Amino acid sequence: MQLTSATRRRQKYNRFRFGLAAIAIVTAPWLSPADAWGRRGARPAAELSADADDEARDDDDGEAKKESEAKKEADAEAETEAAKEALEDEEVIRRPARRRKRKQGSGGAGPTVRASTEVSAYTDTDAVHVLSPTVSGAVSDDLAGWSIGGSYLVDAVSAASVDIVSTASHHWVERRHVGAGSASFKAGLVGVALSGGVSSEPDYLSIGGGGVLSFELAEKNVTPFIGGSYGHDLVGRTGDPMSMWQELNKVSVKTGVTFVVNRSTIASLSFDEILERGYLAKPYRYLPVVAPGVGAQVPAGASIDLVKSLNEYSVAENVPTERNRSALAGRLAVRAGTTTFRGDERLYYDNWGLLATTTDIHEFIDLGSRVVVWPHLRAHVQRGVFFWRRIVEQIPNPAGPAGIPTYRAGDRELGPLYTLTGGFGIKVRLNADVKAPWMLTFQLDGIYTRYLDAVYISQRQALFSAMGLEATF
Amino acid sequence: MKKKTAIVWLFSLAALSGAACTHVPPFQRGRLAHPTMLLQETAGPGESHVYAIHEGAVGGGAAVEGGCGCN
Repeated sequence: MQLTSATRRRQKYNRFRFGLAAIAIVTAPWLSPADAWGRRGARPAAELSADADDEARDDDDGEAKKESEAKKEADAEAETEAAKEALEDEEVIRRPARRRKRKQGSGGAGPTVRASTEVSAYTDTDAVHVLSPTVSGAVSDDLAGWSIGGSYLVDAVSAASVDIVSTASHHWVERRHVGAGSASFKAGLVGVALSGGVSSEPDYLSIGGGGVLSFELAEKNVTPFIGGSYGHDLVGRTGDPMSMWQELNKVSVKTGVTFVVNRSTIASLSFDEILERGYLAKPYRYLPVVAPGVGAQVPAGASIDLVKSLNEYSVAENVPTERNRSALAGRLAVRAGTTTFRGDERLYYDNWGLLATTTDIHEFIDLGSRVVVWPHLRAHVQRGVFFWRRIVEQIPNPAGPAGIPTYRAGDRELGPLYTLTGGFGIKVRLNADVKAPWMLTFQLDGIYTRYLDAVYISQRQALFSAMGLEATF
Repeated sequence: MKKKTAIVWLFSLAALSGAACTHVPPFQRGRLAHPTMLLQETAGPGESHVYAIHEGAVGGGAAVEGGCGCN
């Protein structure tokens, strides 16, 4: 009897121990620190089942009634997906170790040198043609966390647009030179990026610089950043001494956060505030003025001849000297299989009353290991500024000569409009060395702009193309 | 005041959305490390200039990169 009783107690304790062990196995992934998930076998069961559910939902929508079959398929897909992800994880873990070994063997890790050049061309139906060659270079050490770079760009512009023709001015050709430099480094979890640039034209000089501080939090899952910049511009007329040029100062503040959403998705949200103070008009721009009540006779897209026939005299553009511009922007990148979806959205508002939304979408598709292609779509819609008028109309004054509005603008980009852009691009790795790739890039975009309330022109079509070569040594 | 309130609301919404994010350790960022996953400006210098001329809005430029797990 005693023996029997002892055996029963052992069996009872054995069951109790087995139960404790089962509970421990199930709860271990939840209780252990996140770092322990690195072991493939220790990946949380909840994550796997969630993935399986998602796969089942994605793939078996039309077969909801066949629950058992769907579950089997989902399980199989989840296993396949888990195996793929595990392989990817292993690759990511192992690659740096192999790289470091090779580099140590050849004299230790060192900086990477990148050089690139791009030539872009723009042409539109308003007789504006631009050719822009750019060269840039950078030296960086990803492991040490620093980089330094610079670029130089020249714009060669040839214009005979409707604005020039309407004022009986001559076709002109102009060059713009832009030089820029940047540097960045990391100190622990803090990253610092500095940049500066100079842009020079015969009638415009711009000098500016700024910096951004970023903080890597939660193992780089959350990266808040804050930065600012200052720019000083001088605006004048070609041939005038610089002492007669007008000043424009710009201060901008930017803040935001970049965060990892899940293993395939990264996103960022940022807010920009840009304060502009000084001369914001165009010194060459003169606007036709019509008699009181005549403005209604000028339809949108009115011809040069019609406007000339009603024009009493011309007046210089005049806009407020203060502009506060705010932009809220979101970015999203999602990797699925061999494609990456990239979406950007910007909401814009300023104290001149211009309200705009801009959406930009790319779908990057890997074609093998050397080629990436992408379609590109962009849409921009905006409302005009509060002082926008299709044409300047005199204000009747019974006591004296007729007046004109204090603020008047001839810049169509301050009026209501929408712009649609569509195109494609391709990037090809020319050599076999993935560590020192030579990349050739080409893109072509068509741009359609519809001006909803402007004279002379109601729409414009444009083509933009760019070809670039980037080499890493 | 309205603008400030709107900004506070938007960032609060972003913070709430952020709470739904999964913590991804560095060794599970194979997909995030792909070159096309960078949040840098996709437009080159020429293309950016075209947009600056064609559109009345500015801002919302390059975000700071994060989470790539590449170093």
